[in-house]
Amino acid sequence: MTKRSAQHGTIRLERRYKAPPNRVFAAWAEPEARAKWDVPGRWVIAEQIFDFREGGRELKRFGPKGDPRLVADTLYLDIVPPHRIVFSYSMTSRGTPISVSLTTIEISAAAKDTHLLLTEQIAFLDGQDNAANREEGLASMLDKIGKTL
Amino acid sequence: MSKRSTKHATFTIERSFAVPPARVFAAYTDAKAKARWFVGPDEWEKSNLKLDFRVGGRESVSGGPPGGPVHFYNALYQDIVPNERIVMTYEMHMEKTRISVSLGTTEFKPAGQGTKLVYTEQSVFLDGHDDAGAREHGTRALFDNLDTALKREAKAA
Repeated sequence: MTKRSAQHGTIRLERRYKAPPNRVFAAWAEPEARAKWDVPGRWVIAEQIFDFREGGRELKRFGPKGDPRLVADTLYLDIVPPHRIVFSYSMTSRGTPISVSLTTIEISAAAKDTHLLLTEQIAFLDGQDNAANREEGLASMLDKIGKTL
Repeated sequence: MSKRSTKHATFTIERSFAVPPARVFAAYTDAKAKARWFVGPDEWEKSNLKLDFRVGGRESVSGGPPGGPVHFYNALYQDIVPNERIVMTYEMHMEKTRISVSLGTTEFKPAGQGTKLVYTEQSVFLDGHDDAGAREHGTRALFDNLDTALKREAKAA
């Protein structure tokens, strides 16, 4: 029998991008733009269903090349273009629960640049992941946004 | 243009119940059982609680003080381990305004003959609405209701 546990944590990451807020927002809102950065590092997306609107559900199957075992199931809860996106997502690996997250993206103008603040509140389930590892993944994706812009 | 803001907060509530985890968990699993305790203050006007208790299922209920603003609760079940754990996210609206989004984890642990329940809520409050203190206070009142419902059920058995 699996020993059940839940570890709660909060990750905050900030980035400054040399692009206006509406372009940073579009990196999340537009499927073509998001597909360019929506996995950490060199991981790959095997399948992705986009539904970027309040109440929209998205599915993404992803992971290391040749082993896209992870599934993210996202629900968009609050969208205020181009300022704010709030969504929840659960992550599973071949059906095994890994985590459930509540993520807030805040986008604001900073001189000619854009400031992005990501706050992810997470419940890690049954010791399947941890805050340090998740932070590394999220940081990689935010860096990739900067490159695509 | 309204000023956009967010406030993130976390609180944890622990409760002990005399009945085993399966009995406490059962109070969460169908609309009839849950409606006995998942309600606002006595004087509030209520709507029917709708509950589809499965991963990916939804829950909704609304209520509010007579003549006052109607509060809407909409939840999505994210992870369910029978008798052990429920993870859900929910949003609250006051009339047409979304005031918060939360991630709630409920853990049911055996403690002797009874249950230790641990509820952790991670929230983001939007645009200055509500606050963590009021939310925690309201949530504690719900667990008082749950305690009363479980005791009443034990007495009836």
